[in-house]
Amino acid sequence: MGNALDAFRTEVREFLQRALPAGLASRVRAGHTLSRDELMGWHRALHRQGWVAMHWPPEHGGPGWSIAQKYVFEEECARAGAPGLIPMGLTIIGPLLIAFGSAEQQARFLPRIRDGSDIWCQGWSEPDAGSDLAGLRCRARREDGHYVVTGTKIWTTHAQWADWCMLLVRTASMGRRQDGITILLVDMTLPGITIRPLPSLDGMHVLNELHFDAVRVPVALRVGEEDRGWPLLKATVGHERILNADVGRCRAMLERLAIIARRERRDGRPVIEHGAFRQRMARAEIRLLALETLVLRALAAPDPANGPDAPLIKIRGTELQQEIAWLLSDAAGSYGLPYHRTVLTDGWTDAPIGPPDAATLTPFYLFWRKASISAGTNEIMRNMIARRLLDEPGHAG
Amino acid sequence: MLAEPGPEQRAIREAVQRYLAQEADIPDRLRDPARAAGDAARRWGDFARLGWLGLPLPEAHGGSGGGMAELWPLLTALGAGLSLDPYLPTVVLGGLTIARAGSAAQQARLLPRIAAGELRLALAGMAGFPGGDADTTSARRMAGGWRIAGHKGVVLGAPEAGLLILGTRGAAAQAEPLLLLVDPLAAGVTLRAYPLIDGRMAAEIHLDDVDVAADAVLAEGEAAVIAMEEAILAGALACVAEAVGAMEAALERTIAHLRQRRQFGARLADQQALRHRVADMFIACQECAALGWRAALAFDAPDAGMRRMAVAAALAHAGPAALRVCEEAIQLHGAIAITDEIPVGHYLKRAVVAERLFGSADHWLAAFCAAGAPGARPD
Repeated sequence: MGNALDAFRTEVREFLQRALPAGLASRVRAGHTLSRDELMGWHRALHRQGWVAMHWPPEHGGPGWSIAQKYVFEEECARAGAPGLIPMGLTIIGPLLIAFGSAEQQARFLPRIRDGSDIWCQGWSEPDAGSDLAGLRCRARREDGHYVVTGTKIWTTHAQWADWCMLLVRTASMGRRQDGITILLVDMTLPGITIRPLPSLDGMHVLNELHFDAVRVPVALRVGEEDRGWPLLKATVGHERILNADVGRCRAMLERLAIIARRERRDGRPVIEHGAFRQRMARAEIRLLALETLVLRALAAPDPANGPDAPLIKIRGTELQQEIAWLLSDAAGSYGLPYHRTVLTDGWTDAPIGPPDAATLTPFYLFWRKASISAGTNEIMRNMIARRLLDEPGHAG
Repeated sequence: MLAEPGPEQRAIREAVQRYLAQEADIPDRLRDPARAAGDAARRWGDFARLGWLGLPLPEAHGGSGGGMAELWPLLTALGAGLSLDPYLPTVVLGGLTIARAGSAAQQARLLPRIAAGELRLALAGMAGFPGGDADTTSARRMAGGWRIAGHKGVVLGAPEAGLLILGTRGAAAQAEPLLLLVDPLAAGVTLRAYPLIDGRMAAEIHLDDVDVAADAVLAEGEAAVIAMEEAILAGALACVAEAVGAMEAALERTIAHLRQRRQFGARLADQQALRHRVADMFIACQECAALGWRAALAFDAPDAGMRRMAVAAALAHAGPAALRVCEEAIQLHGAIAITDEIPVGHYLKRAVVAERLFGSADHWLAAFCAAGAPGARPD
C-alpha cells in the first residue's frame, strides 16, 4: 500500500499546485466567504481532472478510489487551501439518482452535476418540520401529468444560487407520517417559486426560505414512487454524517490555529505560551486523532452510511470543529471582536485593522454553531446511538 | 452581607428592562440602521432624564451617588435588552474614572455633562493591562504638555465619544504611565469606526503626533496605574453584569421556545434530556448572578485586594458560563437561532464580547490565583 499511496499523494499535490489558484487558496485559508463563481470554478477544475465526484461509482463518473485514496485526497485539499465544494448535488442528489433515479433522470442530471452546469439545493425542512422531518406539510396534488406544489421550505442552503431543488412533498396523508412523502426534482426557474434570504449570525447569505405557490412539476421528475420517498431519503442521508466530520478540514484549522496562536500576544507573550490555551489546543489535537481513526474504521465497513459509527462521527466531528472555531476566535484576542462585513466576502481593501486574518474568525465561530444542528441534530444522533444500545434486541452492552 | 439585590436595586432593573422592552428588537434595528440612529439619540436623552447616566456619579456633579450595587441591576438589564447604547464606555469607564482620578476642575467640567447626556466618552485599553493587547501608543513630554503617537486597535464607544481617555506610557526610559483626555477632533487623531460583532460601535484610533495640554492630564505615574486598574475592574464587572443579563434573557427565550415547540407529536419541554439541560442553564445563571452581585458589593467596599479577587472570580466563572448558556440556547432553538431573525443568537454575540473585552477568563483565573492563598477566606 505504502508506495502506491505515496505516489497518489504526490499526484494530488502536483495537481493542486497546478490547478488551485494561489489567490483562491489564501482566501480559503483566511476564511473568507467565497462567491458562487469561485466555488464553481474549483468544481469545474476538479471535474476536468475527473476527480469531482469522488464518492460516485466509476460507471457514473467516479474515479474509483479506495478509501485510503479518498482520505489522502481530502487531506491534501484541505492542507492546500482548496475550497469545500457546494455539496448538495455531489453528496445527496447524485447518490440518490444513482441509487433510485430513472435512466432518463440519471442521463439528464448526473452529467450536469458533475460538470458544474447545475447547482442543487435541498427543499426539506419546514418551519414546523425540523428534526421531525416526517411532519412536513408542503403539499403536492396530481393534475394533468404534473404535481402542483404549494408550501414553504426553510433553511435551504444556497437556494439563491440553485438551478434545481430536490423537494420533499406530501402527496398523501396516511397512517404513518413517513408514508405519503414524495421526492420531486424542481426547476428553480419555474413560476411560483419565491426565495427569501435568511441572513445568518455572521451576516452572510447562505440560508433561505422558499415559497412554492402552485408550482407545476412534471411527473417524470418524481424520483421513485409516489408516496414512497421516505425510505429513499433514509438511504441517502447517512453518507453526509460521515463526510461532515471533515477530518482534513479539522487538521487544517488546527494548523491555522497554531500559526495564529504563535503570532498573537496576550499579556505580553504569545497566546500559545499560555498554559490553559495550549492544553485546550492539545485536547483538540487528541480528539482529532480519535476522530480520524473512527472515520477510517467507519469507511472500511460494508455500508458506512448506515453503520453504527455514522451518528457518533457526526457528533464528535461537529463538536470538534466548533471547539477549534472557538479557539481560533479566542486566539485573535481583541482583534477577534470587530465585525467587518465586507472583509468577510472581499478581504481587506484598505489597510487591515489588526492582523488581516483575524476578521473572519469570530463570525465563523458564530455561524458554525449550526454544525451541531444541521444534517441531523446532535440530539437526534444521540437518540440513534441510544436506541441501538438500549432498545434493540441482541445488544448485551 | 446582602445575598442578593434589594428592592431598590430590583426596581432599577425592572425600570430599565421595561424601558428597553418597548424599543425595537435587535433584528429590526439591524434592518433599519437610519431609524436605529434616531432612536439611539432619543434613548440617550431618556437615559439622562431618568437619572441613569448619573446613577454612579457624585451628587455634587449632577449624579445620584450610587455605587456598583446600583449599577449592577442597571447593567444586567442593558445586557438582557441587548442595548447598543454606549453606557459602559461613557459612564462605567469614563465617568467613574474621572470621578475617581480627575482634578476638582476636571470633575466639575465633565461630570455634569455626562449625567446630562451631553458628553459621551470612550476609554481605550492600554498595553500591560487586560484587554490592552491592541495598543502601540507612547507619549513624549513637550513644553506645555505631551505629544502622543501610535494606535489603539479596538476602542469601545470611540465613534460616539466627544472625549477620549487614553492610557499610554512615556517614550522615555522610565516609561511613566499617563491617562490623558483627548479630543477626537484634535489635529492628528484619526478614527476608523466599525461595529463589534455584538453591534456596539468601536473604532481604531490613530494618533499622529497629537498634542495634549498639561491640563488634559487626568493622572500620571502611580495614580494613572491605579486609575487604569480601577477602570479595568469596573469594566470587567460591567461585562459580567451584561453577560448575566444576556444569559438570563437567553434562558427565558429558551424556556418559552421549549414550552411551545412540538416535534414528533410532543412538546420539546417534555423531553427529559432537554429538561435537564434547561435546569443546568438555570443553575449557571444563578451562580453567575450570585458571583457578580458579590463582586458588586466588594466593589463598593474599601478593600482593593478583595475587590480585585471578587471581580476576578466573577469574570473567570461567568465569562465561559455565559458562553455555554448562550450556545445552549441556540442549540435548543435549532436552526432559527442561526439566523438574525430572532434575538437568540445575539445573546451569544454579547457574551463573546463580554468574556474578552477586559481580559479573558483565563487571565482572570490566573489573577484570582495570584491574589490569594488557596482556601483563604476573604471575609
